[in-house]
Amino acid sequence: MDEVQALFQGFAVALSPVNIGLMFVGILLGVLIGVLPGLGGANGVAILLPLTFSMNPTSAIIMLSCIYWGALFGGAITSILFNIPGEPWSVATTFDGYPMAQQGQAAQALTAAFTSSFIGALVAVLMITFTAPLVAKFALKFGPPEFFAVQLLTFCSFVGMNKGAPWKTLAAMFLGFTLAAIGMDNVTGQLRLTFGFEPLMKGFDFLIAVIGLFGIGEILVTMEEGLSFKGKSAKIDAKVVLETWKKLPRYWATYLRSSLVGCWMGITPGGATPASFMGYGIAKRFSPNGKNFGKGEVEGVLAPETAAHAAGTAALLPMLTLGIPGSPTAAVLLGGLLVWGLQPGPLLFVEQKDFVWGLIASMYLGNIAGLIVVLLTVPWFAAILRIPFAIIAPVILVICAVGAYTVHSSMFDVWLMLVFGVMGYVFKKLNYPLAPLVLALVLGDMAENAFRQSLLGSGGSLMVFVSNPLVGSITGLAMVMLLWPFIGQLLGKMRRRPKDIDDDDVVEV
Amino acid sequence: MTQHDPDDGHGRSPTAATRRTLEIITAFAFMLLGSLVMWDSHRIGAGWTEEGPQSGYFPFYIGLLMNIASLINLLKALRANREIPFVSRAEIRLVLAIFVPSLVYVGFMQWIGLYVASAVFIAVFMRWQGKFSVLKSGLTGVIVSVILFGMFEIWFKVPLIKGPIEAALGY
Repeated sequence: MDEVQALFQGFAVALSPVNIGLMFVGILLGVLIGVLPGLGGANGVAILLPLTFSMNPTSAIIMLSCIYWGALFGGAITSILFNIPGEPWSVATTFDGYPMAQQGQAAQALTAAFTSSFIGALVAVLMITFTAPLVAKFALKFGPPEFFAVQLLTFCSFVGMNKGAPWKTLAAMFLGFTLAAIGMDNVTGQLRLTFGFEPLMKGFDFLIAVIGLFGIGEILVTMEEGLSFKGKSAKIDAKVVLETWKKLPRYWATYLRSSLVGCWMGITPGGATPASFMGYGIAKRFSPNGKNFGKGEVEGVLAPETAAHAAGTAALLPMLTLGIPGSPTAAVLLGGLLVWGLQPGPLLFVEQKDFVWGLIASMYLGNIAGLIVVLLTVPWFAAILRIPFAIIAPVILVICAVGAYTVHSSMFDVWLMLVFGVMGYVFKKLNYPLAPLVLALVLGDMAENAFRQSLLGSGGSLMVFVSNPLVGSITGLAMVMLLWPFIGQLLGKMRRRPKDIDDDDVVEV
Repeated sequence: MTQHDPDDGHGRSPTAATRRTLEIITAFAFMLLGSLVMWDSHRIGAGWTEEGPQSGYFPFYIGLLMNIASLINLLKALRANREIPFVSRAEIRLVLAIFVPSLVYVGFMQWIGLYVASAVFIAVFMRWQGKFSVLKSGLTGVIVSVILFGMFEIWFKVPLIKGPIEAALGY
């Protein structure tokens, strides 16, 4: 049991007073970020990333990953009390969470949501603890073709997992690759796509894109709805918590299904949002109370929350072991690793044991801390939502501007953030997914390098990506994922079913 | 909210732009960018040399694929319903109510520094859109800026862009 021993060393790292303090700071900030419109896991971490450049990497990632857990917890608060999903992955939580709050069961719904988030995360962390070292060991054998094939699989999964508009997913993804290519080609030193415009020479920083697309874009969308928060207030006391906990074990099968869906969707970059919808849909189909879903069934709260949190956590597995993030927030954390001088990927498990296991141990501790914090502080965070949007909107805009400026101390970046903001607004309204764009922007250079090195090895033949069983099966799987929406359409037509889903699906990352 | 709007923010305000229009514009923008990428990649060389693929090799195909995907999006958009609104007039007015001040805010940041610009931006927006009292608005702006200053300049030692007022105070 090497893993268990390594994990205990990790606990020793994570349990220092400084790290525990940072854990609580991170959770509180994360819940705040999750509750406020316009600030989410991805851009919240992006804004705070520059502040951690001088910290020791282990402490920094513990704080940043706790912000992520906090944001995952926080999304549920607004969904249940205000019927406003604070994060896209908590949309499905509104379906039964808000009706429960209307029936005066807000405390039960919140307790169920938080506990389920915790259970989903716990399952995913256990999965990471025992499979990550194996995946990393396996990935040590990877050469450039295998790495490119895995990245291909990552991107094709976006097309396969996001029902709806595959061509929009592709367009957004290629836009990300294009933005990644701008600036100096790091192999030949040639300038690309700069058109003689000086600020473009150093290339686009994905942190700016994340802050603009998710932060400013979200503010514009929220502004449009002319927000007026009309919410239920919540008070959670120990009695309600214990009573709700007593009821939860009977839903073990739902927990199991949602956790599995979540882990799978997190590893393949489906992300937390589709996972939450799938968790909800599956629970509705299997539950004996399926017809009550949407009217305030507690099972309809715990199913999407478990899946979303499991997916959000599992997204760190490919980031740590392969250097390929499973979600936009994981992509930002990956960017952080690079800044701290750590090369994500299989070698991390060999060379940076303290870091990796400290992080994994902090996932256990951070989620326990998160559960305690949210149960104790819900009324306080609910009160924040009563602050009028006329105050929140400019303050969040200022925070985003500060975040964009601190990345490179450059005014150009702040302007760029506004441009990305408009883009985020339009894309969101037209259902162009943002996650593949961000991931392509982060991974673009790595993917291109792997591609070029593979072709160099093969003398330009694309057959290198099917040249041995390993790389061939990954590439094959990628192709199945890529063609999945079209296969689905074809099967649907063959069965002559009326097309019931429009091009523009609700499922969006 | 804005003054002369018969029905505010309930989606019944006249459509400012249809979804179809925006779909078409977006698809065209993608194709324009895709073509630019292909052209620039071709210019720097998108083929093979003895050292392997040239700098434009990978981006050229990215541009090509972007064009193909966007062409299909365009064709789909052309067939789309002409009635579905993208944004109503009331909605776009609200969006611009935050976006235009943001442009002015970022424009001024260069000259008067981030802290002063932020305080003014928050105060003006609160007074104008939220109808808060001058005192409340001004105080909120100043407090946010002071917190930011304490956090960035003093605690984390991350300098933000500063203007003449900070210089007069010795920073």
